[in-house]
Amino acid sequence: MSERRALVVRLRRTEGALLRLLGLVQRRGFEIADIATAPAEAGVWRVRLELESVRDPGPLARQIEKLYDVVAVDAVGSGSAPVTT
Amino acid sequence: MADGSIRKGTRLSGAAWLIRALEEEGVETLFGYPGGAIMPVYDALVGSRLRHVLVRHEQGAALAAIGYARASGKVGVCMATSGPGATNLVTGIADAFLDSVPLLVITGQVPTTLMGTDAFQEVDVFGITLPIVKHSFLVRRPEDIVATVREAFAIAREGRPGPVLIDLPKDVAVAMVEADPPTRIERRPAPPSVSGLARARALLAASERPVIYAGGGVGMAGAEDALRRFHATTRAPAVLTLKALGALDPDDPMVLGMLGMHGNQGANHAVQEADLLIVAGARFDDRATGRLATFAPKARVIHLDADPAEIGKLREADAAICGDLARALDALAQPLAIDPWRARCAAWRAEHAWRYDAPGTDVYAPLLLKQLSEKARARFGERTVITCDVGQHQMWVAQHCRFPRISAHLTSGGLGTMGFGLPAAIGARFARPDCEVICVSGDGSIMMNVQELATLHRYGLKVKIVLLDNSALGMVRQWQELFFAERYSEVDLSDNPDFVEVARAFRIPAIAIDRRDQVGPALDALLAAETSMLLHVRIDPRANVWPLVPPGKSNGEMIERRAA
Repeated sequence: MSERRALVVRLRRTEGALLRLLGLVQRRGFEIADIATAPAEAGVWRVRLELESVRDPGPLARQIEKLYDVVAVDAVGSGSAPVTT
Repeated sequence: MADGSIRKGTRLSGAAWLIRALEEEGVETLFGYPGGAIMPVYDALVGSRLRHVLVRHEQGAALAAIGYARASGKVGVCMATSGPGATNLVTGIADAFLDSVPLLVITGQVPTTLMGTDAFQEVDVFGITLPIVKHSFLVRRPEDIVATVREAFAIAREGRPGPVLIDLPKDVAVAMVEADPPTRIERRPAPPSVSGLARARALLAASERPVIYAGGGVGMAGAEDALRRFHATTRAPAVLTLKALGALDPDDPMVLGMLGMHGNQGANHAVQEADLLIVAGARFDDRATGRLATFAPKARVIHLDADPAEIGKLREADAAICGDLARALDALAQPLAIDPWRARCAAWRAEHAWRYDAPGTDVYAPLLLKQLSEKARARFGERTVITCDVGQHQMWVAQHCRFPRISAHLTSGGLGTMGFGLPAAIGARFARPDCEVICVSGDGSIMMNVQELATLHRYGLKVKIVLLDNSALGMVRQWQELFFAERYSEVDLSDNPDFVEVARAFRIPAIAIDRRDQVGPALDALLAAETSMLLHVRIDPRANVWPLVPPGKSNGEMIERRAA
């Protein structure tokens, strides 16, 4: 059963950073249902992803944390309700 | 260093800064192939103290750099031009990614003004390689080159190693600039520390049937000695993955050998019956676990790894310890009172010991490889590196050769790259000139990078090649026989070239054998040779690798040799 979760990633605004993040998420078996980006502090994006997958998002968060351009994975919500952060 | 040091105020081209930065990182050898967009870098190489090895295909450069890295523990470096040069590196980058090899890949790129215009030899290698690099850089300002190189080396090495790409546009390479002082941009945050040590110690003390399951991460973490100490203290039965072979003495009665699809039955029995797995630098790869849901069904898990993303990826850990593997193993070691379990494992080990009494006069590949390994050990002690390609011979090497350390066995584990063996041997030869380097290959694999025989000749390298020729893509043929109702599809290679003539055309001496009684003298001649040499060995095309876990089955369902 696919579950919908939200993940908020703070990402350095460098060449390829967004592609790298989205590619990793898809390759690890998560469908991106929604995406919103906004500038956070200088040179950093706040990227909010709504993800659908049958997989556990725990390992995904750790894989995202390993990306060189990721400053932090701020929040993981669960369930189908929109998550606000 | 005197004249090569990077000082503020010095004005050089971007390419010259790149070479200076590589020198500052301690690079001695790099592997590559020139072309249009990388020409400024090759120009800057002239007069540098870097030794550049010109291969005959860029894939050879990447795989040689991997062999160099794995044999030496240093970062391997390779470079190529834009477009086809860059795409030819891709397989090597993927190999380094899946086997966690520290690799720096430098590609030329068309000038920034032409990027995005479908220029001659333009491909987006940065984009193509995003899924298979640890990180990548597209350098747009020449003054960033030195810092980028330093950063790339640090990323390639730290934590779980991996490949890092630097794509360098031609106009950036030719621009004259002063470099900024090479300070590191930013250190990566330390991986989250999971404080599982107390829990792990309790699990270990309470266990009646523990098994050490060690993987290639033990070598990368420099934890082989710590693993040996841990094994000596606990005397827990140990199983090894393909990439951990060499970490423990295979003659030790508490070392049960390789686990998994073509592992030893004794190793798989022990894992299936264990009540605790101590997983050190391993990642529950499907070739090791068989059907995951049935893997070690009675065991709790202590997982030690440098990479926090491996914890819980495929199997939940009851205790997890991230970070320095050697320190974790030392902290965890304790004597265990598990004699009944040791006796059971020793009995499995004895029952399933490899046998070499195959009937017939044909060359029996497992016996040949056992003899090769023994003769090399008698002649060179522990100073031997064996590389191999992918397929049946790869599994026979893993089963029947013995390795004094992990870095003495270079095999393409994660990606399974046919064509790995010869270039990896070239890299190993440069990395470890004190060692004898042997490449075991197959008639399918050797043709994937056969052009690198020219590199052996060019540099006068001594690499001994054992080519096991069954006139087929043997592993695929074996699967078609066993799992596709003997419907053989595109696996016949009976029209192979004459490999002795091929070797001689590259000015590599070669001999051929096809009978078992020829093996001993031929191996002696091969190992005694003062130059590269190829031994062509014709083997039975019907020979299969045994035992095996059928695809999708549990490791408890290994099948043994079929009756002939």
